Amino acid sequence: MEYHTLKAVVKAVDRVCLSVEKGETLGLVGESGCGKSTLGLSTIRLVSPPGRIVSGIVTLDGTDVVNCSEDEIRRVRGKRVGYIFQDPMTSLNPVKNIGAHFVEMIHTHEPDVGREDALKRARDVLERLGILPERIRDFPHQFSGGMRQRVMIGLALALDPDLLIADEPTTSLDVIVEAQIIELLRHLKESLRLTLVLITHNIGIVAETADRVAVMYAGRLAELAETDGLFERPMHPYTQALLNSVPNITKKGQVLSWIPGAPPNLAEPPPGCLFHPRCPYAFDRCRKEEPQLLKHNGTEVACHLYDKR
Amino acid sequence: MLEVTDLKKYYPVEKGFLDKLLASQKSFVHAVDDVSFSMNRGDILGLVGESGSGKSTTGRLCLKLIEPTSGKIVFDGEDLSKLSGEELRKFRRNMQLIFQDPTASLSPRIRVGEAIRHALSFQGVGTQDEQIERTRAMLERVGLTPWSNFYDRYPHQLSGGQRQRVVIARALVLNPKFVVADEPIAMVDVSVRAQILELMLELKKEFDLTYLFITHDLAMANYVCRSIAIMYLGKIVETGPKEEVFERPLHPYTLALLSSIPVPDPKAKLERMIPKGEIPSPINPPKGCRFHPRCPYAQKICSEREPQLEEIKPNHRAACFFPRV
Repeated sequence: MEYHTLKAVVKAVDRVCLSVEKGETLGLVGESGCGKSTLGLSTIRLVSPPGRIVSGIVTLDGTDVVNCSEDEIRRVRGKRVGYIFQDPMTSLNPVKNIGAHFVEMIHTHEPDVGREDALKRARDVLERLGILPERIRDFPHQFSGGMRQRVMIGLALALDPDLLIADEPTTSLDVIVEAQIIELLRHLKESLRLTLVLITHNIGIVAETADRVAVMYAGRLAELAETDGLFERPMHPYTQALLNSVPNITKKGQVLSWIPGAPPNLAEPPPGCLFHPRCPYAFDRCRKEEPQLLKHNGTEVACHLYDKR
Repeated sequence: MLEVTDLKKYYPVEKGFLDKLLASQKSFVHAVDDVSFSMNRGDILGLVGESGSGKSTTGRLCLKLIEPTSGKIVFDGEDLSKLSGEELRKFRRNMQLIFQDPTASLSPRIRVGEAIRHALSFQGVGTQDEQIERTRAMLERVGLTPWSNFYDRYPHQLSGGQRQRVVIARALVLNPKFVVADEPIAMVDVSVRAQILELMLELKKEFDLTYLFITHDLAMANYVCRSIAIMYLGKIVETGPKEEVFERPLHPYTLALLSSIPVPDPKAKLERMIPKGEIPSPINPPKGCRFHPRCPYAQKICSEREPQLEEIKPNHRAACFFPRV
């Protein structure tokens, strides 16, 4: 995935390689600008110019998402992959009531379903998410932030997708409402056996919901591991530092650390490992050669410290 | 050094012409409603609450950036409501604000060194050369070293963390006694947040500062503050030393907040007490205790009478009829 600008080519996502199994929750974490949202959007080919997918393969149960026709990709979006966008206020149409959102969505993919049937389905979905079915006539501005996010989740689930991608689903919400939405997602995941990709910068949310975690830095995968393993034995120096920079209210006398410097400008990336200017363990090889993602005791990590070749 | 008593701020709700004719009563947003607290020199008080709880409004009222509807703020023996115009401007040297969003609070067309120096020239401190000298020293003090690399930069040429350092430098260059920090790290990348906090704590020691730290992030408040005041719908519902409030919370709302925080440890499975619904509108706040419609422990009295902030344990106060002791 590259963004072509007048000045330079920004490799927003570079050589990322991962898979999500059926029924699994994958947490995709990283700081702002690390490419996690771009990666999410790429999976349903929603990246808009100047961004474009330069190379790579995305397959969804055998469908090649990158190279298929516009018609085919439209059938994937919404129907097979549900997407929850970051900001529920800008993703809902302010002049349409909630019911109309559902009807449009269902009609696009299943033209044979009548209006009444579509509305019935919408009421069922909303009820399952804790919204009174009669609110289907209300408009987005009549809902609170948390309720709006529930509507977004409902829209993403209305067509019973195989995969749900949630991009920072709780970032604009207060802590109690955030906890409500996370509980809801966890409940849905179990009751519907959902496959979920959760994109977030919040380490706590990942710890509580994900089965596996992918840590991204500057457009690359730094580490990919089972959640318990990642928090117990983080391998990549970036993961280690990131975990040490997050305050934990259940720990007494915690000493936080931080990562010196700032993430690199991807228009002029440093040579070698992109993390080396901020890494306390960097040695000669890190400045020259880019590390590959290699497997170590079940964890995949891109760092020369573990590459004994 | 700071004594706030019965502070209120109501904003009138603008209505359409017809509503104005027909409605008998004006309605108000009760942004801050009867808030009282005091701070001693060297305190770090965390004002914690969800959006709409009135925490930022309280912070701004303390600096007299907005006029209170009623109530009293005494700073170092000086009643702020009596100050105005030139006197107030001079007095502001003692109290500064660190803003949440460094991108919005720095002018994109002013070099950051000049932005800091303006604070000095506005207060008429020293000659221009002296101002420049102090600005350079301040830049270095907040970690923007060497100053020559930063003085003539524009905000867009700096990273988020560096911009927030500029905002901190600008607030501290006047050597204030009291600083209100309104979500100072909310816009900073996770990996550098701790560094900004550490800097603020160092500067506190060095300049003998008193911080009012406004945040929605309980884990951050726990890391930085010595005492905590929890706000809900314009009121302080619980206040006390940090260890007391976070480890032995009295108010059900504090309990709810604490159990809602996502914990960055997959092994720590906390007991959950997540209340239903969301923070109600501050235009017509619920009668009695404002939290009662969402409170799992609410009884009849909670909807009838309003609980007052009372000392339940030494230094630890809560406004609840049935505190969790």
